Amino acid sequence: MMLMRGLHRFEDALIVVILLGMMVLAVTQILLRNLAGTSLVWVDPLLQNAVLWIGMLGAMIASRKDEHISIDVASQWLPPFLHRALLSVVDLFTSVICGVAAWFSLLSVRDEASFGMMAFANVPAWWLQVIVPLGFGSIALRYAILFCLGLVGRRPAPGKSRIKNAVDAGVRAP
Amino acid sequence: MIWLVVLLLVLLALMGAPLFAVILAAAAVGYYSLGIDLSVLHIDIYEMSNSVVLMALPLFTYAGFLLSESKTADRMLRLSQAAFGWMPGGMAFVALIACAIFTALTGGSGVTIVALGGLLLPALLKGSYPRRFSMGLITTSGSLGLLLVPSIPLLIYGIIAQQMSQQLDMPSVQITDLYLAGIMPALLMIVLLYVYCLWATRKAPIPRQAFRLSELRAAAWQARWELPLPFVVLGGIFSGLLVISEAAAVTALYVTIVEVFVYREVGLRRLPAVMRESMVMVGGILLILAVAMSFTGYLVYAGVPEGLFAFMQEHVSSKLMFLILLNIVLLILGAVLDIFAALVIMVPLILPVAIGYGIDPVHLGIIFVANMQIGYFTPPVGMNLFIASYRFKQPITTLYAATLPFMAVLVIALLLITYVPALSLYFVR
Amino acid sequence: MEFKISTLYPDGTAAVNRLKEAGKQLEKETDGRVSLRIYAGGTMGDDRAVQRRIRIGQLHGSLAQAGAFASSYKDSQILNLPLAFRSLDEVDHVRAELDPLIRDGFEDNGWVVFGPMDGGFAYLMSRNPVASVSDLQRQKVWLPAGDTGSAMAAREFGISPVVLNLGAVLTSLQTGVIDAFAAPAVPALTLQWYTRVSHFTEMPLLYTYGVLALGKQHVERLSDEDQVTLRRVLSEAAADLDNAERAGNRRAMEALRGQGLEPVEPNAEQLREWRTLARQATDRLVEGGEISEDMLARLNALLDEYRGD
Ligand code: NA
Ligand code: NA
Repeated sequence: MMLMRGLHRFEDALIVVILLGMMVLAVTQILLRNLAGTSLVWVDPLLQNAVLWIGMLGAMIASRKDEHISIDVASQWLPPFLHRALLSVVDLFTSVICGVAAWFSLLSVRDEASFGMMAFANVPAWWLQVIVPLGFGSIALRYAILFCLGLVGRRPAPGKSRIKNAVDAGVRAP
Repeated sequence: MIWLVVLLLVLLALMGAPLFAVILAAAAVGYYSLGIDLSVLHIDIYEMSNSVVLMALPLFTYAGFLLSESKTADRMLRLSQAAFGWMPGGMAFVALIACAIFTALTGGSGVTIVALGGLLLPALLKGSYPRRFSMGLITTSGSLGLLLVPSIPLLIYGIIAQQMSQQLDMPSVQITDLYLAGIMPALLMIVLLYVYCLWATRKAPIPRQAFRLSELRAAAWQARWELPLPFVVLGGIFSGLLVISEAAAVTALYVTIVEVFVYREVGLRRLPAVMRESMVMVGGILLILAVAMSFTGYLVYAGVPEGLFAFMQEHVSSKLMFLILLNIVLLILGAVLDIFAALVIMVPLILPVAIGYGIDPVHLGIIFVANMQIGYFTPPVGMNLFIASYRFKQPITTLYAATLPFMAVLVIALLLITYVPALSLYFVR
Repeated sequence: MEFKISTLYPDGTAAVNRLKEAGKQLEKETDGRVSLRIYAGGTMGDDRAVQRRIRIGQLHGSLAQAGAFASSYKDSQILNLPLAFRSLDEVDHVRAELDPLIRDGFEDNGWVVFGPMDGGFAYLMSRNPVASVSDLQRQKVWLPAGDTGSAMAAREFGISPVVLNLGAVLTSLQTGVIDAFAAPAVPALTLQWYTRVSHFTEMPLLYTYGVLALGKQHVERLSDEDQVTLRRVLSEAAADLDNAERAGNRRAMEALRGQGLEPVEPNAEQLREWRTLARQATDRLVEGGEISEDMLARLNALLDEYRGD
């Protein structure tokens, strides 16, 4: 549990730091270019990779409470017990397919490391790519946990999307 | 066999499986059936780090979250009331303008109704507009502005189209062109809605509010820090000094400074939470985007778009018929699917076929987002209807009835937008 | 076997058409055992993504700038050294000797390569006339994002470049964010960059070339007989493309002059400075292990032979 909380904190902090870094670096680059007529060579590729990291980290965080975008008509029309059973099937499926993606990404990153391609300057491409297997691995793990919780009847309900959150906030507000 | 897998995946999606997982599985199965090493998934997904515009997505989204956390909505409402309140049907016009701008800045997704609805409804009622009319107006306006800079759905369409323009032989799609193309259609919608408002309230004329320069000045002064924002974004992008992603970075930094340090409406300690929340939503979208690009990669590799187009050409004889079909399909999808999901799933499928019928990809983007905008409040499952029903504490059927006339007006606008390409392309081509 | 080949050239260009033609010929000569499928217009992603796809067997080859494969065989960059050549005749003299060496070098490192195919000289094009190195240092020079090699060369010439992606170059020239760039004639013409500059420095900055490279592991799956056919047919196609691209670049250069782009000729002293710095940059490449001393010696010997020093 402690470990889980630590991991959550780390992910939260990392995603905030990357977003802040993106803003600051991008604005620095604009100022340099328009005021000093020059730029930093490594900024653009770094920023582009930052998007990938934000995407994977955000998706990892969203998986904690199953907050991913889904169509989900089942929960509205099915009786609760059947819905819970379906959720288990869905969790297992998500976990497996993410596990597959994580495994093959890992192979691909290992391959990339052995070929020694550089992303830019002296930064090996695989350092930046490693977030893909990490991300899918962690998503797979989280849905596996949800699946297990579902089996013992303790799975939390699917997370609320941004829209439902906004509504709740609005309804709560005077 | 292949149809069995497709059926299974559709079933899983309907059972509530995360869309990204369904699309990822589709790509994996597709590649596997061609005997390709599944490491290809990683190669496709890592392509995401090659996009030069993608960076705009997290930055604009974060800025939008921050704006809806602070009292921007109040200031904007006061300002537009001071500026337009004197016109006939002034308050209705104010509602349209305020909603359009707020939606463009915050990226839609129902926030507008929540943030502005609570302010607009009392103001409209006080201005002696009928209750049902007012609720319909706000619910409809909640997605108005999706065609305006820096609309996120339009940005996502552009990102997908740019990616596809490399996969297909078609003119490249510039995000700035999309934003330019969105101006006239958005104005058309606003004007038609405004005219309808005047017509609908013709029997019980609404008393006009007197114009007071002092109030306008005071309102503008109060909003002085947020007022330059559209000009920074528009000026930067259209002067060519900033590319989209940089305009987004400037916007994000600027909004942070203004809301946290100038207006002090979002505490410094609340800021990381806002960032985190916005990035979780972005992460969800980006992951879908990444796996959808992988799925598209599979389709292109397998030569599916060519096949699909040949099939369509055999059964759909004209461009006109194709466009009618397109509108029907998109309206339904817009009502059923999340707008981002609809974009990433449908654009890669429809774009190649539309190109085949000679439809300009920029025009297609406008048609696409205009449909999605209406889909937001199309009964029975349009998202804005639910949100408004929560927000105004009204049964959903009341909102169906309230929005229907407005929807009819916007469908007329949609038809004009679809069949008069010049409306979108006048500033572009 | 269907060889799946990726290229950035759009469908309908001479290069893609010639490759498709070669594919038909192959199919006929091998009774359908060998054919080509071309993914044109960069469908399969950038050079690095394409190489990853070739590694896993999703694709089998790529028609691209030689730089894309330089990490597999560094000495292939011998033709891309700054200011190495003074004329296309010099290039031809050197290439007659080095082309087979480059092909062999690639083959030893896992690539069956056809070419080189001429890409023309990159020239400096600028709003203000640039004759000397210090002239250039005063310009806001564009550098493609992510191009580490050019960044290194720029440092050697004392330039602090502006990094932009390809798509932003035209508008940035327009707004004055940059006012100089180096490019071969064809892209400068087709991407309309030339419309925003008024001068070009009459000094071939860099020779560029492309290759058609197939993963050797994929070629080796063919029978010996089919391999021979494949090599013959594709070598012919590459030779045709070499000639066609040479002619295309020449026409583009004439078009640029015709559009009123003013040539600027560095004087003897300025030229000496350019060359001194270029030599330093080259030395740095050798020190950094980017080019072998042996290969550089060959190039210099060939150039000396041609120039009669
Ligand atoms: Na959900
Ligand atoms: Na691509």
